[in-house]
Amino acid sequence: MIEALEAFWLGDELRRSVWLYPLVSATHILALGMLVTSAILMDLRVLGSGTRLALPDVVAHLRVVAMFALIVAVSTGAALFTVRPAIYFANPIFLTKMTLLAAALFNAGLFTLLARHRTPESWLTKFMALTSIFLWLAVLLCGRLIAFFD
Amino acid sequence: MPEHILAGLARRLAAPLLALSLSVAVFSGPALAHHGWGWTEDAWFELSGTLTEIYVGNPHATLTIEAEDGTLWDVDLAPLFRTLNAGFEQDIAAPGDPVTVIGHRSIDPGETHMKAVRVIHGGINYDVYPARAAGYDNR
Repeated sequence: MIEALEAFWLGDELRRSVWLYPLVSATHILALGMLVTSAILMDLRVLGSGTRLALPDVVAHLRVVAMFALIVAVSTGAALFTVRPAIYFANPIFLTKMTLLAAALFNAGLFTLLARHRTPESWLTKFMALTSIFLWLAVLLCGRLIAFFD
Repeated sequence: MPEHILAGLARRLAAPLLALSLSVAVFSGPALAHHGWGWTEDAWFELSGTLTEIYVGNPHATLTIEAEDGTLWDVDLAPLFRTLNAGFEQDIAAPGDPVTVIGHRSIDPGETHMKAVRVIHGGINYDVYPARAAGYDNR
């Protein structure tokens, strides 16, 4: 599977291009900044910060931003991954990041499915919001650390 | 927003965040920071052997060299743009070629990993870090 990924045309383009790689990398950083910021703003609103804005409005607006940013972050991230898949697969920090990302997405998906923002007073809602803040910050940290452990 | 909520939040977040940073610091150890030169020795290190792998691409170029004693060394070169500027392109060298690299090795004695400032192949010097390579010549 790793060989197939290495042969993928986009990976080769990204491996050899002096400009494309930094461009995709910068887009990835922009998208994850949007994603983590919008997620944490929603979490903080659930936890009681920024109450001058109605919770349903905050969630309705920022969830769209977060979804869009997630799509961009995942696609640029997947593109960067195809450059050296074997190296990233062997990197414990990368694997930790993917696990934390799965946990963050699971938490966010469950929060959305259960419409937890309708019961912001519940301890479970607050717990999920706190968990979300931790997971996203941990994903961000691991993402940055990948380059330092290769 | 009432300030006590943020204060409470900060109090609740402080301990776990501290734990997270500490665990990162503990688990990183000598493996941390293959970026820059902080992870290498100050002394010069020269390695000659047979090239087993060559990768000239993003995010940075790497070689694998089998030393005369059979040890496999991971050799970091420069980011792609610098490496290409030095004239060291993917098809310059191939596995099986004899090659010498000059640079700095990892501080960790158990880690056969180094970062090169110069690659010598086919009698040609490829200075991927020219200022540092000049420093080597004037040492």
